[in-house]
Amino acid sequence: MTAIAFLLLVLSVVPATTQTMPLPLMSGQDQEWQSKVTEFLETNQELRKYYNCRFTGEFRSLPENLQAELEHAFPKYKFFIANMEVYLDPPTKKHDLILVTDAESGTVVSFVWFFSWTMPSASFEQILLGDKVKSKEETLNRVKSLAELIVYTGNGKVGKATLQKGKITVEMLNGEEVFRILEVKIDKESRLGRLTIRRQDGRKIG
Amino acid sequence: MESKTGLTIKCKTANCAPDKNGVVTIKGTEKNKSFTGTVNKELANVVKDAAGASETAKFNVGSNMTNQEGKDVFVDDNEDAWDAPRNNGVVRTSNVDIADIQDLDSQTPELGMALVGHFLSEGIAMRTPGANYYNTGTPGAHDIGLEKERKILTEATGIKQATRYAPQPISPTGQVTTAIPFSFVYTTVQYDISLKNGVTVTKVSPPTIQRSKK
Repeated sequence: MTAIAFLLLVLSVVPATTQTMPLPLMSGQDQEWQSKVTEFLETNQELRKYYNCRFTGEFRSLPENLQAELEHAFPKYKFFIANMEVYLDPPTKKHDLILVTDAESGTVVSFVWFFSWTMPSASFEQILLGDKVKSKEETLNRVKSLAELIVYTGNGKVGKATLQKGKITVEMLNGEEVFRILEVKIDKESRLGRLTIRRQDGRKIG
Repeated sequence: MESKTGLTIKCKTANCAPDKNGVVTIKGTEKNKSFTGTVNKELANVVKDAAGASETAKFNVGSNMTNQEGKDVFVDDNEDAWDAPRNNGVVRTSNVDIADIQDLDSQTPELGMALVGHFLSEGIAMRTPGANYYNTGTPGAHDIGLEKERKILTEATGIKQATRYAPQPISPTGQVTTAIPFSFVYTTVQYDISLKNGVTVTKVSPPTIQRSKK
């Protein structure tokens, strides 16, 4: 049976802790990238398909070890976290948006919203597609580092990572609960397939 | 809620008084046969669903609340609760600003009912196993709340209303604060809302804000 329990509120106000900063890139090429990324964030319609949002003009820095891990695992991409202001119900909230850019051109190739949403762009499933991997360990590390990046944008942590029957799955936990699962198939020629994000109930997101 | 639903709300304590911990727990509802007011059946259904929910939906009730970003909570903070760290997979208790609801009820009771129905249904839906708050390709708890809100407002106004359209409020400097008024737009009515000194609502009919074409 019931229940709505109405508790008296003892409200504590916790100061905001998110660290944001301008994009930490300053070379000529990097400035060009910055304007490409900014233009994408200000104009892309897929970003606004489900959510009323706008770019705050700020980026969130990645921890050095995570940045290094991603560079090693994904040499053809660079990852950024943009700070977005999103309006579903008032007041507006600030949320992270992970951007996957081409390491050569700086073009945004894909994005995925922060951990609580984990809503990807349609192109997100293709970021590993066709990549040939040398070992089981390399495969797991690649998907795990991507999971590390996603959980960094929320209150999550990476759980179990397994490779069984040609399928890699990496759990992303909220507390001790499996909240999201990254999944990618690998064929007999060691080529990676489409990347899928699943909800806790197994349904595909996006 | 009793005056809008024709229900008698049954609590764990007599007259729904707070217990020694300041907690009021509703354990069920019963039709008030002598009720003579106007019943909003959609809201009544939401209240009955909430009271009979197998998922425990708890709300901390307070006034003039602010969220982690220091911004005013408007009616509820279900969204923040969803994003907050979990303990054993449990979504933290949501906060409800009763002062906002009272302000809404005194100025535009139909909107007050609609938003109460929104947070109650959303609060239950987001605590259902396997749920999501946001639309992740399929509707989330927020979408369920919006639909209840629409239905309650439709019944209250007697005219079919579309789902709330709410353009993002932006100040001339680009900074968004709760001092900036915002609008909820439906089919035949628009509510311009300010949180500067409590909740102030201006009802505009027909709406002056056009829905964006997505």
